[in-house]
Amino acid sequence: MRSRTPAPLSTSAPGTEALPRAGGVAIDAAVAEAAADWFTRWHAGGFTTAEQARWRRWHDAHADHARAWQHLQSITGALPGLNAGGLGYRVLHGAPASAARRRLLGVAAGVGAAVGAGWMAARTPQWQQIAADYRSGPGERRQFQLPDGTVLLLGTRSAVALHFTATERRVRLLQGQALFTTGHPQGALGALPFVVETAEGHVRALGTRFTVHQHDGLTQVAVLEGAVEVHAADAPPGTLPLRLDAGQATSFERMRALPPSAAGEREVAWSRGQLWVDNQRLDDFLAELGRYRSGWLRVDPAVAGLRFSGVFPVGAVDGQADADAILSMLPNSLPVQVRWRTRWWVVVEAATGR
Amino acid sequence: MTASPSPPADPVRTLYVEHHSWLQTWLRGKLGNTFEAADIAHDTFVNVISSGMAARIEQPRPFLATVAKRLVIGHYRRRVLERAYLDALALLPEDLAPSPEERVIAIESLQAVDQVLDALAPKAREAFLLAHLEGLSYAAIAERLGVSMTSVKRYLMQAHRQCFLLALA
Repeated sequence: MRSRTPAPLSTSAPGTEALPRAGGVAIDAAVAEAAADWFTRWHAGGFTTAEQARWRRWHDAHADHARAWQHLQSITGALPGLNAGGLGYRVLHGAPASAARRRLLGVAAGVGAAVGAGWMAARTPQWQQIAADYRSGPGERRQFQLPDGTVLLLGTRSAVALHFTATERRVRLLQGQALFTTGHPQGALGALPFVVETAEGHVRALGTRFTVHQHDGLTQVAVLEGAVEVHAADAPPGTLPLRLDAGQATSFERMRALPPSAAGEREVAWSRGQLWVDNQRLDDFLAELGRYRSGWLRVDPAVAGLRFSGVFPVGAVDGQADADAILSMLPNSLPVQVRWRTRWWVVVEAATGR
Repeated sequence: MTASPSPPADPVRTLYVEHHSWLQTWLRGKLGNTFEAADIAHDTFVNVISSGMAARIEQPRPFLATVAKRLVIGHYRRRVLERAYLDALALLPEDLAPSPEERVIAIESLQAVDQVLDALAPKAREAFLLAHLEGLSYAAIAERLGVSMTSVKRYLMQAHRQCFLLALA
């Protein structure tokens, strides 16, 4: 049986600016955003009756909304056709490079351009480990002084690489979270801007204390004193950087930064040895807790959505033991049980029995 | 006989006359191939002309080099993908093998998707492929990637936004 003919997909000519378009006609970025939001919710598992009604009101409010919705349906509808025999997934996922492909990649690298994010090996964990100048292990909190007097406090499982140059004091947060108290050295060094770079873009310090936390394609910034400017790496040309003043926080992806919100305890409590949980889903909390220990921490989908709050101490030296203690106490607050299959393989699941 | 004023210099023409030959030579040195160098040099100028930037370029050679590098990366990226497709094709059972026409369409479509997904973080890109090519549920994707549901939804939200850079040809 022949697979059905794949529908042809295209994009704007390589190298030109790409604007969002639905059905070939330009649409407003805000409409695209709303449509993507509705579509994701629907695609995740359908609408409740109430959501369906709200969606319908949005959909019918403007012809552009309907067009944007239809666009997402058409594009995503065309994708399975590219995967006959699992071919499309294998190709896009990146099957191991053959000799022919490695040669092509070598020529491209020879042109000297910085290769785009996610394409070559630059973002593998192994590279990050080698590249780090300062690092902390699971459950550790470590403080360092950088050559310009900046105090660097690293949270659990974090790594920073130094890139001081003639024009700026640049550091790269390779993974995890850090609290920077920028130094103000005398002379030429002090005149250079202090910049923290992550996979999503960079943060320019206008003095003095701020936190940066990178995970899962998102970088979160909170300012304690002074101000910073946030630049998303792939923001459309001409986008102004977002300025954050003391008491403000934001998150940013490669494409854009969210508007500032108030910085809360959550962003800084870790630096004082506390884990702040504020009505958080259990799976999100365990993802965070997992950073403080080595090994696998799995949660049963049946309890993943349970929410709870609390403040937990996590010491600077043996955070792993503290994280294990927190895990052991979970059944006191939630209808779960914690199964220690081995020291490094823990499963949190629904409590059985009474 | 009246002297006519000379026409104002056309910035595009000036750019071309002063820098095309340099660009082509530079590319030939990097790529080791005259034809590719000519193609990329040509595409670079088309790109610059259509962007309307020609009159406002302050440092022409670094600017042209930057545009050219981006085009080279895109060009090789598409070739790498095409190679990957043909390699993967060899592993398919006979009855699933696409016709030559289907193959061309498939390669071009995959190249477009690949280009548009490049802006996403690796896990976001993977979540999108698992959802729409492999048809996994969001819960299954969370399990597979070792992340929370909240992250999966955020990844797919980012990826669905990117879909507005794709078109059904």
